[in-house]
Amino acid sequence: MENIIRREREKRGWTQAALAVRLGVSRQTVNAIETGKYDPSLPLAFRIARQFGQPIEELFVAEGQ
Amino acid sequence: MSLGSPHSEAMTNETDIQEEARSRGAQRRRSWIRLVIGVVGYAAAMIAVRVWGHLGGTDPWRFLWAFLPLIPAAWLVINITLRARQLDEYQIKLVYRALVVGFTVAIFTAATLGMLGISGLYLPYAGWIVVFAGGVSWGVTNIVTGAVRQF
Repeated sequence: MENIIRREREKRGWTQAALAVRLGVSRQTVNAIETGKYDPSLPLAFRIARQFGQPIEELFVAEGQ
Repeated sequence: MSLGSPHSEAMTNETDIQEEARSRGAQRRRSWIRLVIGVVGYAAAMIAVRVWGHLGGTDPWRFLWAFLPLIPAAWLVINITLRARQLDEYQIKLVYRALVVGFTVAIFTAATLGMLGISGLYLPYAGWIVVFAGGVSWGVTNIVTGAVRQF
């Protein structure tokens, strides 16, 4: 799964730590999601989408699509 | 399905975020201190048992001494459980991986030692070999996966 979380976060001037606090997860988790090491659960993906005010399918794209 | 933590909903300004980050840092440090207290307590209990417990003797109290390390062990279990409840989904995934490796290695080490016992090779401290194999594989996997940084 690919995502544009880093781009969206940087666009808003948020650090990984700040986004982590907003999402209620650790900074390492945000880093793992951004680098594609970890695909978040559906509830967490919804939380991310809500923070960025965008639908999930715009933030996350299945590889090859 | 919950769409967000109660904290994230109210997290609207930088002061709130910094306050939350500080609170999490303090929570993590407290967990570490409690874990260190548990480990030190466990080591102290083991030493006390070796020095004063006379486990190899005939005093019936030696059986009670053998249970002494369970007191700090219970403290450790409680605090590890409390810390585990604070982990998020990615942290749980990392910690789980190390537990699976540690548990599997311990089980197969115990089974191998059991087979050796059946075949006549008696190892006097076989239990400690299981503890060592399970503990080391658990610890090494924690380091390799980065799970150790999550605690």
